[in-house]
Amino acid sequence: MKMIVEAALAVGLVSLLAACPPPEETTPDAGSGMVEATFTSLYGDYFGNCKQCHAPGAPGRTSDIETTLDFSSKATAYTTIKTGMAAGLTGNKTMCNGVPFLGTTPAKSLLLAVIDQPTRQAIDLSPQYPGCDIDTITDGTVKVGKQPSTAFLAALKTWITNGALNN
Amino acid sequence: MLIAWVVAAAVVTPAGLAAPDRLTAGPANQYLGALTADGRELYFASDEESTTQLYVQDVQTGVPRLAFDEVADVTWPRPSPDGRHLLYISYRDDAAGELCLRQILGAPGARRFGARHCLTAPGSAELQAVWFPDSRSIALVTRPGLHGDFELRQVAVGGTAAQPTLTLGARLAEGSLANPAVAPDGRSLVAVPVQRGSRQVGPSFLGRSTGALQRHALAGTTGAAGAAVRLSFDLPGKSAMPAFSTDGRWLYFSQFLNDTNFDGAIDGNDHGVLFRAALSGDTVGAPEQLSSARWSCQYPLPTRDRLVATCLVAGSLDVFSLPPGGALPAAWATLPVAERHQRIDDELSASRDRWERLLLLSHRGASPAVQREMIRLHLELGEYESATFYAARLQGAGGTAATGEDAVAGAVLRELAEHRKAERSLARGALSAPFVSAARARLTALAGLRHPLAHLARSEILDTLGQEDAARAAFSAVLPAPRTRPTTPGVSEPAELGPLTDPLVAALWADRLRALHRDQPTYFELYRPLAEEELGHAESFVRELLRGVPRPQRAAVAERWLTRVDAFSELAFLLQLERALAELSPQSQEQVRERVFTLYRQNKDLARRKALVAATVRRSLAEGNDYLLYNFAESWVSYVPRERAERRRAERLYRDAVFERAYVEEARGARSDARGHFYGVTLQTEALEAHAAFIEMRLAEGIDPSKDYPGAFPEVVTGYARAYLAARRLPELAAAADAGPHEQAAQTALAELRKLTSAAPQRSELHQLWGFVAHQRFLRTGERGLAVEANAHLLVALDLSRGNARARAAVLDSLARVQAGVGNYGLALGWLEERAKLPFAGALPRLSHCLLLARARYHLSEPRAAAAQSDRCLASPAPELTRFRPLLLDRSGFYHLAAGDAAKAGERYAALWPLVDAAATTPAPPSKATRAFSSKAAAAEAARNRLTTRLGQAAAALAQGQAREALTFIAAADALLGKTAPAARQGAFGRERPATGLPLQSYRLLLLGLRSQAHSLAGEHELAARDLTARRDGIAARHKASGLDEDRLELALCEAQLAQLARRRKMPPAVALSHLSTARRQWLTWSTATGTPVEDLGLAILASFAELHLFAGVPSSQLGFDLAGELRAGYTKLSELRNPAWEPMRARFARYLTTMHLRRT
Repeated sequence: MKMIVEAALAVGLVSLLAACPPPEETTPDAGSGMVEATFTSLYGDYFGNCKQCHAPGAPGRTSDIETTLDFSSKATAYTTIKTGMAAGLTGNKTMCNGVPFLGTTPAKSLLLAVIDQPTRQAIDLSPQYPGCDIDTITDGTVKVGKQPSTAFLAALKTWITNGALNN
Repeated sequence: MLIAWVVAAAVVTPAGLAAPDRLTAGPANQYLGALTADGRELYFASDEESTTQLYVQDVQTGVPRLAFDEVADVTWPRPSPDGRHLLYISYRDDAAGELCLRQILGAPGARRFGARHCLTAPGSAELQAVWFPDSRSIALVTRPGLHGDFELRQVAVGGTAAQPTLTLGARLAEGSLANPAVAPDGRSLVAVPVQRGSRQVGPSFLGRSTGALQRHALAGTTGAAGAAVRLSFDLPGKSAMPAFSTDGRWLYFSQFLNDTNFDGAIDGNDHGVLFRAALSGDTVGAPEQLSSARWSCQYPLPTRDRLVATCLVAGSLDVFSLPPGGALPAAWATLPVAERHQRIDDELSASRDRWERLLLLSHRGASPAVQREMIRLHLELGEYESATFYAARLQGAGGTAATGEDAVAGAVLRELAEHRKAERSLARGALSAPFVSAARARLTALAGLRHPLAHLARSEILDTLGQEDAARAAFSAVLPAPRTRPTTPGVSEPAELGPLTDPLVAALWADRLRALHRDQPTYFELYRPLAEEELGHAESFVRELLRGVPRPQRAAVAERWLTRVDAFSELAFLLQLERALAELSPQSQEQVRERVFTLYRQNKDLARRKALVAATVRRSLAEGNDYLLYNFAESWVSYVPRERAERRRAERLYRDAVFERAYVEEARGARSDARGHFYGVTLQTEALEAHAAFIEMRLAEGIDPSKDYPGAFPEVVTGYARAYLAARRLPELAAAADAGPHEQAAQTALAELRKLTSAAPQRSELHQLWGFVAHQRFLRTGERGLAVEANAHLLVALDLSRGNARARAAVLDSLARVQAGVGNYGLALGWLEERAKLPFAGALPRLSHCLLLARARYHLSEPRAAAAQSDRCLASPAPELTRFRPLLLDRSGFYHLAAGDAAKAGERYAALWPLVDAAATTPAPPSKATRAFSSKAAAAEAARNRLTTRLGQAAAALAQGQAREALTFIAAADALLGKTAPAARQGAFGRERPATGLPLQSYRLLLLGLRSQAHSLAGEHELAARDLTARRDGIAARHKASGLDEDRLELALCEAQLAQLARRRKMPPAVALSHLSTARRQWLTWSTATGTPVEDLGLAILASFAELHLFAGVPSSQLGFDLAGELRAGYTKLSELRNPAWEPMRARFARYLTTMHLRRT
């Protein structure tokens, strides 16, 4: 039973991927409301908004923006999210410098906290980063002008839980 | 692996109160809006033209069109329910008003109206009319004559659609009634009974409503009158303007709650508030407040899905629309009571507006706590009628259940509200004796009431009566107990506030404390306990503590008090904050931020954080510190839970902070950061202003902005960007000889703007841009119709940008330049003065404004004011304005010359000459401003500047009597005048008016005139006559070609001057006479052609004739006219006009006439 389910899922996954246009061009699930727990799907969905500021030469980029993240392509976005730490934060956000973006769990993910209010309200990164909490983490959705969907947030949490693979 | 379906975002910020949606805009008043039954079109009246006219507006496009031209005042438009006719009141044939109908033809957006058909009833006056639901009858308010009582009559509509007939029928109801509304089932109507104020004067001029509405049943098809039922709502004030909902389930009306204009009466001149009450059979439900009393809204007319009303905002009437249920979100009505109250409480906690809070409280139930809060707000707003009403309700006067304590409180508050109302009446002339008597009676009544409020009310009344000691004694009966020091370290013990735990008592107590003890040391000691416990009072305490304290001392004052207050109290918190903020400067901003943020992190309470952010924002704005503002706006919006009402305000603050930061960075030259922040605002809002700013910054970076626009922006944004990019090229293209590219760019912009203003007519940026394009076209072509078009759009932009100071500043500046461009300097001056009330973004806009102000003064014949203004411009110290110094010197020199201060003018021109001379030989490097300006054009402009400077020097020297110097300058100018005319005055962009230049000959004639005067001054009359003759002949040739009246006046002047020179040359009097006679002939022709009977030169010529006759011995018979007669007529005319400038001449005429008379006798 388990193998049949896994095979069915695998077929479904292959079919879906085969149908996907290059992620940099379109949102695979655009209009359908579906977001998969894959980096491709996540980048094509809400994360696509981030490159308006978090990319070299982006129209919304300013000198006080976080300097590690680079959403200009899926590859650079993945690399910087996966291995990077926040840097270049100034003012009230300074205490989040040096904090890895991903975290070990969704509840400790700086990346998630920036776009999800419940995560941000509850996050506790002590003892390593005690100062990076709701007071010092920005609500990134205000800058983008819109919130991520529940589907996106659920998919992001799942993706982090599953090891944040480059898929 | 899961695939999740999108539903919605996790947490949603709740929608708050709906603000009225503006349906009309413009510089005039738009009012009495009425939607058609299908909601597609809006009819309204407007006073934009000299007569009041009716307009029809397609609601989808928002474009209004004049319905028809009655060639007279019209008002009260009402489309029939079947859409076939429009009724209105016309004053064309009957100055008292008559009811008219026109057939409605065509389609929305292209309406036409048939011929007018009116009810002509001699001796009557028609005021208002509404349709019956079947469109076959009209309920008409008429009166027999101007002073007759109002009568509500039925008018039958017969005939055909194209030729309707109106037949006046029977009365629909007895009594003097106005503002009728007919129920959708046609079986009843509601109206406003009106009482006469005087037997002799009719209710139209001196009437008042009874305060309640009146309902009448209508029986049968005749609509015969039924019994009247009074509809009185449990509200303060008076009800008026009833209207039924389309389904008949609601009765809407305006309620005038308070005497907001303080004229002693509650009537239609006060602020109106919209209400509705549910109708169920004969039962009328409790009233629901729909709009905030901050807005004065009247004439509600509901349709199926919206409520239209006329509202007064910032002194202008416009038609607005609200949801049918009013400002409160419709979804709240379906919530369980507890949840609805929770939502309202959340909104209340976030609201900063007292009227908004009253609107929310009106839906919060009628508990004593709610009523107390409403009374407190009404007292603070000075709305004593409402305060009295709710105090009476609290007292239980209306049978409302209330506890004993509430009843006593209500009685006290009622006395207090009545006292304050009576005190306000003193300022309107009420007599003091009755006031004092009534006040004493209130004191007696209050003495019998046992409540802390009674002491406070007595204290206030005693204070008003001048009994300060008694007032203090009454006040001291309500004092908190002194706080005891905490016995356990780190544990705060609450103060014994006693009655001050009641917010209403505390608020009134604080008011009394301020009134009695302000500016005394006891004030703060007495206030301390309350301030330690309650954050709002802590804010008042700190505000008062630091009032007038110089900045360097604020931290010390806060520090001193910190040692005296409970360390864990609200007061200590705010004092710590003030101590941290006290030293805010650009150099210390990071340290201040850190200290304030530490305090922020130590205090997690939402209310404390809100107070901290508010104080930090205030200080940041006061100090112009965008760094602190941005940091805390960002922290705050990130912290406030999205499901709270406060979140909306936090988001707005953040957006404003980002916008502000972007502009500050732009001003500092940090273009990349400015660009980034402007772009951020475009993501968060649809502010077209942000898009325009982003485009400018991107272009400054040398990057094509169109590449940055993702497809997600709505069409209004991308269309605006296209229009903006086309329009911004216009000043640069204007300098080109070929007009084609300029017009093409203008048409590209206009094509976009036409589409956009149809889709989004309420966007001020679109109208502002349209105004800019039209203005640029006017500057290029000189077509005055384009200036009119620019003005019209800019006025709409001004009306739509009321809350945006930056946009208003830009539009006001543009309006001034448009008016100046067509020569309307009076209007330009008005706009400039309005503009001056707003800040300037930098030295350059301020200088530009300064110069235009000087120019306007000059053209308004105020040369002294112009000269003084130009000196202020010249005194501007900004180093980046050095390159404008030649312009400033030139203007200042010219205006001083015009003002008669030749010495100052000479100084200015002397300082100017080295600068223009150097510029002619060493052209300045091209800047952004001059990039489009070819080097050839720059050289031509430099040459013209040298010439005009020499002319200025010559004129200044001449005016100072320095003939030789003047001749030297004139010779230099002559040498500079080449074989072709100097270049017309223009610039790379920002031109003030269409380019106009003078032909070569005009300069030559000018120089001849100056030289003639210089020679004459030097006693070289022969040379003077030679030059003057050449000037005259030149002007004569020019006049022959152009026929200009001005030239004829110049010719008259030349001849008069030649006559003067003839006398100085001691030529025979006949020579002078010949010149004078020619001068007179020229002048008379000019006078007739221009309709100018009296003028300086004409008077001077007449005086010269008199002197020729009296002192040169020319007989009057040789003069060719009746000198004495003309002198007498001239004297009489000057005596009538009494122009101070002509008084010396009038005296001379008197002397001439006297001398002539004496010689005859």
